[in-house]
Amino acid sequence: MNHQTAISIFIVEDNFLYTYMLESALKEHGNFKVTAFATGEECLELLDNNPDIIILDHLLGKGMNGLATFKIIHSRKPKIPIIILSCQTDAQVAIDTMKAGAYDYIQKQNYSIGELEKTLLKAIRGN
Amino acid sequence: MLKSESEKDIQKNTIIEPVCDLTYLSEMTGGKKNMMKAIMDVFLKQIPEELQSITDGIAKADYLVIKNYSHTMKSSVSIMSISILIPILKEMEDLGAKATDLDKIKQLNQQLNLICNQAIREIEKEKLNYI
Repeated sequence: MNHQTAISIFIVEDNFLYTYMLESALKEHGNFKVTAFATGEECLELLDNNPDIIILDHLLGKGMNGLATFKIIHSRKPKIPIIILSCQTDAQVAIDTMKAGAYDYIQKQNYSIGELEKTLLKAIRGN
Repeated sequence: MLKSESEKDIQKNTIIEPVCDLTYLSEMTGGKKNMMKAIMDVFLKQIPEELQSITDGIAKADYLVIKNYSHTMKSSVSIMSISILIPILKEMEDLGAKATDLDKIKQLNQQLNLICNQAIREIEKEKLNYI
């Protein structure tokens, strides 16, 4: 995979403020092309664009929930690594999702942008 | 059980200590003031909308709305590290999921509004340093 071009990231998160912060931080920090979706359905519509990686909130408030979205993405695109986002109080659900095949999970507020970048790059490289 | 000063303050409907901590936001943005200010602007717009949605949900006894907005607010407040709100929102989310105890939800919502209003004042004041 040649990453001279920007790394394509899909963010699926229904909280606009959180998405805005994450998207701003990623674009500022590295060579990332971010596409954000507020619902799982919107993400699935563009899944054939084959992003390099997907960051998915495990609990989406509107439409299909995070777990259902995860299962569909994972079955259609098993090679695309998925990072699960969770709140501090939702760790168990995130861990369960990871056991179902997500690459990793991160707890909101408990990671730095540098750590997130390392996790993203590691996942994309497949190790 | 001993309560923290902040918990005592909430019971008295007053909060003296700052509730926001911008360390996380600063780290995520690399301390870039224009980016921090832009995120603060979104926070100041979004939080009142989320509070109103929860209050509307309570008025209609719409537990699904209460659950969903309590959940999403955990993400919103985490950006400003308003950690005192996390257990309150978690309890509201859990009660919303169980569709029970609207009186307790109302009580928690009062605390939520009190703390959020203080957070808004803190961020509005802090934002003046980023212009």
